[in-house]
This record gives sequence, C-alpha cells and structure tokens, in this order.
Amino acid sequence: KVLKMAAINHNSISELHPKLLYLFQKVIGIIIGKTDIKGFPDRKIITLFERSFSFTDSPDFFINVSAWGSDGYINRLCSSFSIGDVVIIENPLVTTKDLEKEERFCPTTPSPYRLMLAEAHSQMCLCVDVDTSDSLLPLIHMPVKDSRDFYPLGDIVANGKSLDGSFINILAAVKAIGEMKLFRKSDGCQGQRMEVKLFDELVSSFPLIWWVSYFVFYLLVINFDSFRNGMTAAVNSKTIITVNPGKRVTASFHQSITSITAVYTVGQLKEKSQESPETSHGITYSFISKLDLDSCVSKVIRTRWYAHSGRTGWVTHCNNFFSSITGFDLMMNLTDHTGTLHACTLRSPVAEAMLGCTTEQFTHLTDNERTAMKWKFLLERCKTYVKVQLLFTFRLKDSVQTHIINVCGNFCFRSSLPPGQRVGCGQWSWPAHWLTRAR
Amino acid sequence: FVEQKSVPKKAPFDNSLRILTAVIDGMKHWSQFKDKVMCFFEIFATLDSAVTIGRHGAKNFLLRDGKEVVQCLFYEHEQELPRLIRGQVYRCVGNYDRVRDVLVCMSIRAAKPSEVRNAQEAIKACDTHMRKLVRLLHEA
Repeated sequence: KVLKMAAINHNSISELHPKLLYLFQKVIGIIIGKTDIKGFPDRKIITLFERSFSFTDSPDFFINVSAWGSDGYINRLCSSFSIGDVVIIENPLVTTKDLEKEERFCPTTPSPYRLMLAEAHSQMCLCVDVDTSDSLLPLIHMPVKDSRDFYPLGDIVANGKSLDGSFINILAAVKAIGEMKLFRKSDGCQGQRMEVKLFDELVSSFPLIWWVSYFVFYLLVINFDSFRNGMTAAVNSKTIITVNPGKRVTASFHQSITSITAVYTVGQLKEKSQESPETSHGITYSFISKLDLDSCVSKVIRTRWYAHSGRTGWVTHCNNFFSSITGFDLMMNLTDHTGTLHACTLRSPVAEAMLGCTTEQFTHLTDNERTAMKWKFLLERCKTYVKVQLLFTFRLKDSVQTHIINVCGNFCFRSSLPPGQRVGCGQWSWPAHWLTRAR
Repeated sequence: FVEQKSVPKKAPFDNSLRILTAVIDGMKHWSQFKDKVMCFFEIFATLDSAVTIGRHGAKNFLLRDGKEVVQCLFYEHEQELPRLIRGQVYRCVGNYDRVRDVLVCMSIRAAKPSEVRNAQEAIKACDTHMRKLVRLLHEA
C-alpha cells in the first residue's frame, strides 16, 4: 500500500509546510466535512465566495481546506465533490492557521496550517486510482476526535446549563429525523432547519437542531452550537459527523451492553451503590415484580417540553420556542432472593424493544390488552442490564436509583415493531452457576 | 467511665420483597420468617388434581413435587387461569399463606425445560442466602 501511494508521488497532509510554497505539492485525501458557502460581497468589487471542507489522509490527522473564488467556481466545486469522496488536491497554498477565525467557523484540526485553493493556481479532482481510494475510504468512519472524548447524552442532561454554549462531542445513534422547516436567515437567504432525535443507552430521545443553508441542505455538516439547559444540541459549521464510527468507537458506545458482564444479585447491587458514590453497571437475573403498564397512559408515556432560550441568533428565526419528546417512562421493580430494587426507570428506546410496540401503538391498546401485556412480563425472570447509583446518602431506605439499560427475557410475544427497531431485546440462556457464584 | 468503642456501622437490614425459588417443603419452611422477611415463592411442580372452582370464584388445584403437595388458589382478577393439564410441570409464583396452608398463585404457566434444569441451582442459592439471613436475624 505504501509503495503504491509513493508511486503516485504525493505528500501526506502532515508533511505540508508553508515553506514548500514554491514546490509543486500534491495531496490525496478523503473529504470528511463541508461547511456552508459564504459570500463576501463588500470586500472586493467582484463577490468572492468561500467554501471550506475538511480533508484527511490518516486516522489522526486532518486539515481544513478553503476554496476561494467566483460564484461559479465555488458552486462547481461544491456540486462536484461531497463527503466521502477521495480527491487529489494539486498546488494548494499552505498557510498558517488564523486561530481565531479557524476555530470559530471550521472544525478544530490538529494541523497548524490550512490549505487554500485559489481558482487560478490550484486544482482539485476526484482520485481515480481505485487502490488509493479504497485505502482511504475507511477513514470516513473514523472519528476525528479521541474516541473517548465524548459526552453521553445523559451527562449532557445532567450537566444542564453548565454546558450551555460549549462545543462538545457526542456519540449517539439517530432515532428519528424530523421534517425540514424553512426560515429566513438574517442576510435574507432562505435557510432550513431540521430536528434530529438522538438516543443512547440512557437517554431515549435528545433533540439535535440541524440548521442548514438553502444551498447545501443535503450536507452532513453540522455543529454542536450550544446546549440550552443541557437539553438540545444545535448546529453550525464546526462539526464533523462520523457516520457509523468504527469498532473502536462503537465499542465504547455499546460499552454499557457488551462490557457489562458482571452478574450481581439485587442485594449486591444495592451494596455496591452504598459502597461508592460512583455509578455502577451490572447484570441481574431478577423477577419483574412491578410494572405499571395498565395505569393511565399519562403515567406510562410522557412528553417532555424543552424551552429554547433563544439566546443564539438563529433560534430567534424560528417561531418554535419549545420542542417536545415523547417516550415511554416506566417504573418497574426488580426482585430476586436478596431483595428488591424499587422504581427502576425503564424508558424509550429500551421500553419499546422490551414491550415490542411503539408509544403510538401502545396508546391504541385497550385496558385489557395492556393488562395482558403487563402479565407477559410480571413475575418473569429477566436478564437486566442496569446502571445503579446512590441518590441520597441521608435516607436510610432505598436510596438507590436504577436505570434499565437493557432487558432480555424469554417473553413469548409477537413484536409489532419494524425489524430495525427490534434491538436490545433478545433471548438469553440462564447460566446455571450465576446464583451460586461466590463473591 | 466507660470508654466508648466505635461500633462498626451495620448495614440496615433490607426487608424489601424477596422472591425465593424453592421446593414446596422449602417454601413452607422459609415462610415461617415471613413477618421479618417478606417473600414470594417461585416453585416448579406438577399439577396433581383437576382445576375446580372454589369460594369467591377462585380456581383451586394441587401442585406436587416429590412427596410434598400444596393446595393452590388462583384469583382471576386481572387474567384468566390458563388451561392447565394434569401431570404437567408448571412454574408458579405466588404468596404462601401459612395459616391456611395455601399458595395464592399470581403467575402460573408451563415450565420451560431450561428453567427446570436451572431450578436446582436457584433453590440451592436461595437456601444458602436464607440460612445466612435467618442466622443474622437470630443474632440481632
């Protein structure tokens, strides 16, 4: 691979240096992000447009590239290349990063430089060498940030206002994509706004505001703009989205499921939470001893309303100052021979997977059907992945807060969920030794 | 003057509900501590009678494991009693009433082979745990 790359005779991005300015330089890399087109009508007599994108050729290095030129040139460039394309850039201008400007509008790169594409001097074209392309393609699934440097959605909610306005990394799965809504930007251009619902193992639905310009609404360039009350994430030009990040990362996302291997009794989980204030994860094979599926729907499905503060400019453009998320919000008790964990929270999407129906479908069930559904689970033994933490140290009784991360059981029911959503729940075989394990 | 010794902090006794997997004999034995240790029982046993209708519409039947037999009651409040076949092994979770010597069943269904296989381990673990607990109760 190395030989082939060398044969094409190009530099690696990390080798680029402003002092090599007069030498012919050529880099090959993959586009991992794109920003909006910016027009600068008052600077020159001719309107100049800038178009930036991020570009990488190795797992731990990437650089921002700005293209400057006329409307036509930039639009041509913009329509010919998209994220995931392997491109060759010839003769770019290597300049030292203007930290203030770069950091404000473009993704923060590890490189001290940025590349400029000038209409007259530089060239950018698709790489047609299949081997080179293939070797670079996996980079699209590699996050540009340290794979551990992210906030679980639950941590964002927990941090609340203290995270307001900060730029952070999120690792989450997409649950739903909302409708595109039109609005007019301050410069008079049309813009579009879209809400994407994210989820991870603890937060069932977390709104991410996807704010896209009229021209480039198809782009995957977003930015985590600010967090209002730790409850929404918004979009601007600093973000790079890595779709289906590689094993290394998803491993940490699924950490709560796959890395949880320790089996505990309810009593041991309670002890564990008393011993240390840190949250602990574990598996328990216990009975569901309470599940209020047949109480009124408002106790089973909850809608939470989040207010946008309107502090950030673009929010003022939309009339919608509130957004809501609806999901299951159930309490259940888990019991085994050592005791009961009370009021464990079971929320979407785990609840959907366990119950085998969506909130929408659930609301259409009759009372009898809901009671029947309850008895499919009640007093059955389940393999439950839980996160426990001590809530109030001053209370003597049951100060343990338990979140259900996943439930597996031998429930016999037909799931009405589409196959894609039937995640999480599964059959389990009961390890006969779990109860007698010495600890 | 009595020197105060620092008493090691004793974990408060957890008297939350327990569900014990047991044989019928074990269930009857452990239920004597019910006033201190609230518990339901999970038993695996064979239906050894026809299902009849008793007082207040409760369904009555007998469950047996080995030589031990327990009279069972099932109230059809929320769900109907499923069709039970005499001679088959059932998994039953209920509350044992010591005074009346009946097991008030809350959940009953055919036992799965894997559950029956694992039941012995579960029973052993529950017995060990309860023995420890009872010792603790006597010390206190």
